[in-house]
Amino acid sequence: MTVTDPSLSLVEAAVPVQGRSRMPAFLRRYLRNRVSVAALIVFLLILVFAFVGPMVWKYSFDVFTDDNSQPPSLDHPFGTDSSGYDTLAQVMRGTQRSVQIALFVALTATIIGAVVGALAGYYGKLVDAVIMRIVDLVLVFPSVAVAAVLAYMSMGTETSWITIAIVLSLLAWPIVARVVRSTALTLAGTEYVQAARGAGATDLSIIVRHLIPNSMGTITVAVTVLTATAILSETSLSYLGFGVQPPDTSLGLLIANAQAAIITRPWIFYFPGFFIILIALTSSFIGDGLRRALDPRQSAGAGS
Amino acid sequence: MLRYATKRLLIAVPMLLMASFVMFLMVSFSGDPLSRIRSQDPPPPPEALESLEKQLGLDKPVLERYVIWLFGLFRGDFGQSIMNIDIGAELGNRVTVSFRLIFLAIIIAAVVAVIVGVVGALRQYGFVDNVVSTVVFVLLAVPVFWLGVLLKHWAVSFNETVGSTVFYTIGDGSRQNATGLALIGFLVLPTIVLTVNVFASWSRYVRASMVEVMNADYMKLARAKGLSRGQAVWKHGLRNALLPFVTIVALDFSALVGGAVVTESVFQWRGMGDFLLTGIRNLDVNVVMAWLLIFAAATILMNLIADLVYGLLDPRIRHS
Repeated sequence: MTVTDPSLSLVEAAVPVQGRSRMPAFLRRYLRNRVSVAALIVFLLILVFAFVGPMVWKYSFDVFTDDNSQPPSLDHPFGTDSSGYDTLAQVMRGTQRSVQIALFVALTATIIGAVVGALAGYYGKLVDAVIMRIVDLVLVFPSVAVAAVLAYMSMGTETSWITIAIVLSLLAWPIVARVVRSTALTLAGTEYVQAARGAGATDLSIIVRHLIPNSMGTITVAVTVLTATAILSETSLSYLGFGVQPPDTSLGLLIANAQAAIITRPWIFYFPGFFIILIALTSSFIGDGLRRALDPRQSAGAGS
Repeated sequence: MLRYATKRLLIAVPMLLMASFVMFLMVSFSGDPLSRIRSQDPPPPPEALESLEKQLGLDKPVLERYVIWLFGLFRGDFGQSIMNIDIGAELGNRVTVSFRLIFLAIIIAAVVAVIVGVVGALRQYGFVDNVVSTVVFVLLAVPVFWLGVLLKHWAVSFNETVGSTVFYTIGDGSRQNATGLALIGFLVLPTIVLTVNVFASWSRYVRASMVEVMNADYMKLARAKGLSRGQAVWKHGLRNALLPFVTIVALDFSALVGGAVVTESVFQWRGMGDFLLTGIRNLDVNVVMAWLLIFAAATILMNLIADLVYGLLDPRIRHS
C-alpha cells in the first residue's frame, strides 16, 4: 500500500477515473456496502462512548448519587440502581472494560495465531504435525471453563482485566492458527514463494514478506470475528463471577447484578445487554463486509 | 475404511492422555488448593496443615501426583475432594442431567441450522435470505446468559397469566422427581437458550457451503441430465454440502459445553456446570479435574465419531 497524498486523492475523488483511484480496491468495495459502513460507524461511536464518555459525563461509575432506583430521565438517561449508581456511567465503564478485553484478545490471539499458523503452513511435515496437535489439544477444552480455572484459581478475586484478557487470548489463538495455516499451505507452493526462495530469501523473510501479507485478508476477518466471540466469552465469565471483579465492572458483571431486578428496575438489565449485542453485532457485520470486500467472488450478484 | 477407523482411534487415545496431562499441570500450577485454609484466622496449626497436605498428596512432586491420579482413574477413583464430596457418585447424576441438555441442543440446533442454511442458500440475497441472515446475525450476538434471564422473566409472567406452571425457571427437575414427559417443562427454556447461538453459527456454515455447492460443475451436470432443481439439491447438493458440517458440529462441541455451563447457572441446575463452578470457587482441584477430563473425553469422542461418519459418507475415504 502506498502513502496517499491527501491533495491528490481529493482531486481523484472529484474526478473519479476508473481503475486509477488511490484507494485500495477492497476498501472501495467495503464502502460500497451500506450495512458494513453503518456497522463501522456504530462501532466507532461505541468506542467514543466507552473511552471518551466517562471523561465528559457528570457522574462517575463508582460514586453514589442521591437518586435510588430512578427510571431513565433527563438527569439519568439510563436510570439508576438501588444503591444510587448512575447506570449510564456504569454502562460506559463496563463497555470500556469489555471492549478493551475483546480488542486485546482479538489482536493478541490473531498475532499469535497468524505467526504459528504461518509457521505450520510454511514448514509443513513435522513442524506442522506438532503445531496442529497442540492446536487440537487447546481446542479440546471448553474455553469458558478453562478461563475460569486459570483466571480465578490463580488470582481469586484479585483478577484484573489484563489477566482475563491474556487467558482468553491464550485460548483463542488456535482458531486463527488453523485458518492461517491452510492459507499458508497453499501460498507456500506458489511460484512467487518458490522464486523468492530460489533468489536466496531466508525462511523468515518469506514468512514476513510473503505469507503473512498475503494472508492479510484471512487475518483481518479473524480479528473482527474474534472481537465478537471474545466479548461474549468475557461477559459470560464475568457473569459467572470469574471475570472482571468489583469494584471494577464489565457488561457481564452489570447483568449479573441486575438479573434479580429485571421486574422492578428493568433498565439496569436491558441497557448493558443491549450494548453487548450492539458490539458483537457490529463487529460481525464489519467482518462480513471485509470478507465480501476481500473476496469479490463471493459477493457476485449482491445488489444490496 | 477399517484402516482409517483404526488410525483415527489410535490418534484419539494418546490425545486423551496428553489432554489429561496438560490439564493436570494447568490445574496444579494455577494455585494452592490450601491457600484458603492457610489464610484462616486464627491460623491452623502447622501439623494439621501438613497432615492435610499428606492426605491430599500435595507433598509429592507433580509428576508423581499425576501418575497416582491417573492410576486411580482406572479404579474409578477421582481423588480426594477438599469438600469431602464423593466425586464419582456425584458425577453420575449430574452427567445425565447435563448431557441430556447438551445433546438435545445439538440435535435441534443441527436440524434447524440445516433447514435455515439451505433455504438461505437457495434464495441467496433474496428477500427471505436477507431477513433470515439478519435474524441469524442478531442471534449470534445475543449473550447466552442475558437471553436466559430474559426468557425466565417472560416465562414467569406467562405462567402467572395462565395460572399454572407451564415452564419451570429454576432447577433441572430432579428435585421434583420429574421423569419422561414431565421433564419437558424444565428442559424447554434452557434448550432454547443453549440452541440459539449455536444454531445461528451453524446455519452460516451450512449456507456458505450450500452456496458453494450450488455453483459446482456437478450440480450443472445434474440439471443438464434432466433432474429438477429440487431433485438435484436433494440428491447431490445436500450430501456434499453437509459433509463438512459434520466436522463443524464436532469442533463446536466444546464451545457448546461452555454455553451449557452458563445456561445451567442461569437456571440453577444441579448439573455439571454447577459442579465445576462450585469446584473452582472452593479450589477443589480434583473436582475441577474430573470435570475437565469428562468433557475432554467427550470432545475427543465427538471428533472421533465425526471422523468416522465423514469416512462413511465420503466414498473417497471409504474406499481408500
